[in-house]
Amino acid sequence: MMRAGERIVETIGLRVAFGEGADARTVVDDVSFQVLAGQSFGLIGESGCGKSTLLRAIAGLNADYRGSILLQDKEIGRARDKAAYRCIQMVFQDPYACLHPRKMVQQALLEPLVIHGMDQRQDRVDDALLAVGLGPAFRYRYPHELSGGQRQRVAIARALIIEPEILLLDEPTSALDVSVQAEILNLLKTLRTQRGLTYIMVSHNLAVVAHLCNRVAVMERGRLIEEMSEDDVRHGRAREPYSRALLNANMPYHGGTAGSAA
Amino acid sequence: MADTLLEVEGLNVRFESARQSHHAVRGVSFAIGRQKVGIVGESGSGKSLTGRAIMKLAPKAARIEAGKINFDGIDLLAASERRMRAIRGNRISMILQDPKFSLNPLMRIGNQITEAYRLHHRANAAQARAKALQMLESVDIRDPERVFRQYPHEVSGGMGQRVMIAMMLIPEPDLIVADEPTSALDATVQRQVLRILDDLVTRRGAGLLFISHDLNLVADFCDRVLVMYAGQILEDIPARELRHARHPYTRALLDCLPRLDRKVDTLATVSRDPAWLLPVQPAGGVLA
Amino acid sequence: MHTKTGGVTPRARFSEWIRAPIPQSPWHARVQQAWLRWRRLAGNPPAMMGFCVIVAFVLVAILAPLLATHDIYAQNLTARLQPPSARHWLGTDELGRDVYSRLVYGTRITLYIVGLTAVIVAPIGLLAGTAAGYFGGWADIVIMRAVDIFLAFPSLILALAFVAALGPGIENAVVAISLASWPPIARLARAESLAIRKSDFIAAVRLQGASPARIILGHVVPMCLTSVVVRVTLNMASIILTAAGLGFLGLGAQPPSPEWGAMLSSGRQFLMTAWWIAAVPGCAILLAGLAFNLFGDGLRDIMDPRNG
Repeated sequence: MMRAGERIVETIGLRVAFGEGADARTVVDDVSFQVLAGQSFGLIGESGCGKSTLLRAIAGLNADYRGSILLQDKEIGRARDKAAYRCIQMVFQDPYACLHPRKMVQQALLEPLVIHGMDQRQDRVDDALLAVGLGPAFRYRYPHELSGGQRQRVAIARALIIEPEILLLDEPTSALDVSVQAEILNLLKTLRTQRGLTYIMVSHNLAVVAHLCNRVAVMERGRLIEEMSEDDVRHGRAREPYSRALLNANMPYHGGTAGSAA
Repeated sequence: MADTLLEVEGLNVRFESARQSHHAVRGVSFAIGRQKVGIVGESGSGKSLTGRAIMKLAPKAARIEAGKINFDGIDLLAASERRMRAIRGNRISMILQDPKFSLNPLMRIGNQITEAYRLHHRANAAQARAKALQMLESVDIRDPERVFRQYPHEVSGGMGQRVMIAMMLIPEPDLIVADEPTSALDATVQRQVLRILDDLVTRRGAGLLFISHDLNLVADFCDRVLVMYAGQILEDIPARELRHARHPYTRALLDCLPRLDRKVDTLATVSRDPAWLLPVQPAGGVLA
Repeated sequence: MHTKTGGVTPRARFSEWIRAPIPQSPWHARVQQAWLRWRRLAGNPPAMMGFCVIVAFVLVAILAPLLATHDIYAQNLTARLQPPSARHWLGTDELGRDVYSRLVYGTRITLYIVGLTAVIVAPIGLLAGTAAGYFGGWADIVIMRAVDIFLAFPSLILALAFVAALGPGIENAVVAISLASWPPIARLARAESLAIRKSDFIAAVRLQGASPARIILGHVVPMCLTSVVVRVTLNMASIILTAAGLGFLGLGAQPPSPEWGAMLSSGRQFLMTAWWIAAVPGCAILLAGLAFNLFGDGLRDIMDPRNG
């Protein structure tokens, strides 16, 4: 467990490209940034800017990258070991696609425990379900019997059950109703404080990012062009013209809330 | 404003299955003139189903009952499928959420637009092409010739949605039903598309039924807002008064959003009061 | 539903248990899902009919000794080529054997062939297809070329070639038919795996550090299972026909075994005079094929969870 303030995740010159030869597209272009332990780091940008690809590369889902990814100041290779996987977990965008349709909630939560050889499995499953606001009654449910918000809670429980230090969030609430979004955001905030987690979150919704994150980076066409604080985002203070345009486009029309577009 | 274009009274939609009956739309009544009316609700509130029931495009399993569904004097409830086909796409147009799914992926964009045009107008290929290019220009597409030749997957989401709007507006409909037209778009593109929609609707004096889950977007864009919950309309107010809405559900929806201008520790959540479920208005019944 | 003495009937208790909103154990949840599937099947008349016919065939096969009226091997040359009568319900064949009894015992052979083929073909096709689809690259190339080679042969010719090499007999016929039947299953499983491997739930389990074996066997295969089972069920009709074809050519079950195809073959020469010898097994083959087709059609509806 890292002390707050130490560097926990770092990328150096990260490059991800898809396609070959003439079709090659560089989706993440020479991105270098650091996240400190206990921070909540947000990545914003328009669709296609590469923020999700960057997140997936950090997660270890995309082994085809150039540059380095460092975890707790040690470089991790493209083939990761179980300890590295245990350290970083991810919550995905679509609650309707992130749970295996044929597996009960209990199976989904037990599996990571079995893979990592953890003990007291049944207790941990109960604790995980309680921590996300569901009860033991949800153990034997199938995903198709759950609402979007409930599925996302199960996904969060599954991510946290093996006690990671870093949680990657890929637009975790954009597919949810606003009322459910509020509950999930509150849950994420509580869990972070309780467990001292580090968050790296991707979102296109500035108000959500400002609510949950304390540091924000702007991406444009694969490049990380600016980093700023949450306060800067709230007040539309940016150095780069693109960032300023982005903040302004999302600015409230009149009342103060940015549009909650899905 | 003024003259009523669409009048709906006591619309009820039920889904019957072997074991249970799901009452998806409960006694919905409203009237639209040549104005922009937004229907806002969360998933499951019945807003999309209301729009589709009006156009008789609801799923086959849905049973629709209503006291009245009148469009410009035509009784849509009693209209035959043949009559509906003449009205749909001609006098009432529909714009859907994701152009990826509503444009034919195997046809070039230009061909789809000309086909839409020739369905309702007698024209030869050259005339149809000229009209299509004109429509593409009217939705702010700067290089209509190039877009005409492209396939849907080759254009961005925002462009695809503008193409959809162009297609839907060719027959110059009197009423447009837009079901989450900007939900799949980025904020910048959203504004662009809304501006185009606004322009076209106001200039042509058409009515717009804008269905969305985004309360603030609708409040800023539309003239009137209907808030739906569990199949019922809880509130029907002018858009500029939305921020002073009185119904606790609307207030809760407004309050639970994170705001850039106000930092809170915990977001307000919506606690659903069972008392909000009003007794259902029967088909043909009067407001209780 | 209370009994006169005031207790709750077992039927009411079961009804309550099966409809309980919160399952109390994994077993409870699985039984509830199975019951829902049964209800869906019951709501699909053609599929239900197919299912009943298949169940009827299975029962006939199991109860063959009780249902048969005569010894299927007993030849009675004085009573040959008899039309259906009270004594021989479906007549006698060219050696005086009772056609009805042979039909009943032939059910066993048909179900044996179909069942054994399905049990061989499904796992092989699944494993090959999911491995090819999940790993991609060289695994995909090698496995799919093997599939292509097998698919290039017409199934009956391939079966003939293997039976010719291995010698006639039921088990060899099963092997031959399996070799011809597994490629489409592999293709199907591969197509599904290609789509599944991109989904978020697979990404999630990869992030947990699961090995490829665990991912394929535990996560990809269960998703492909529906399509494969439906496909195999629909294939059973053609398996029956291929087996009958082999039997017809004398390469499947050997005489005096009451295999339907062999019966059809020997009845061929008497088609004009003693039509029942060929018509009866022919109708049985038709009915069995039809039943599997109808049931297979309805199977997909019931096997997917509602929003699955």
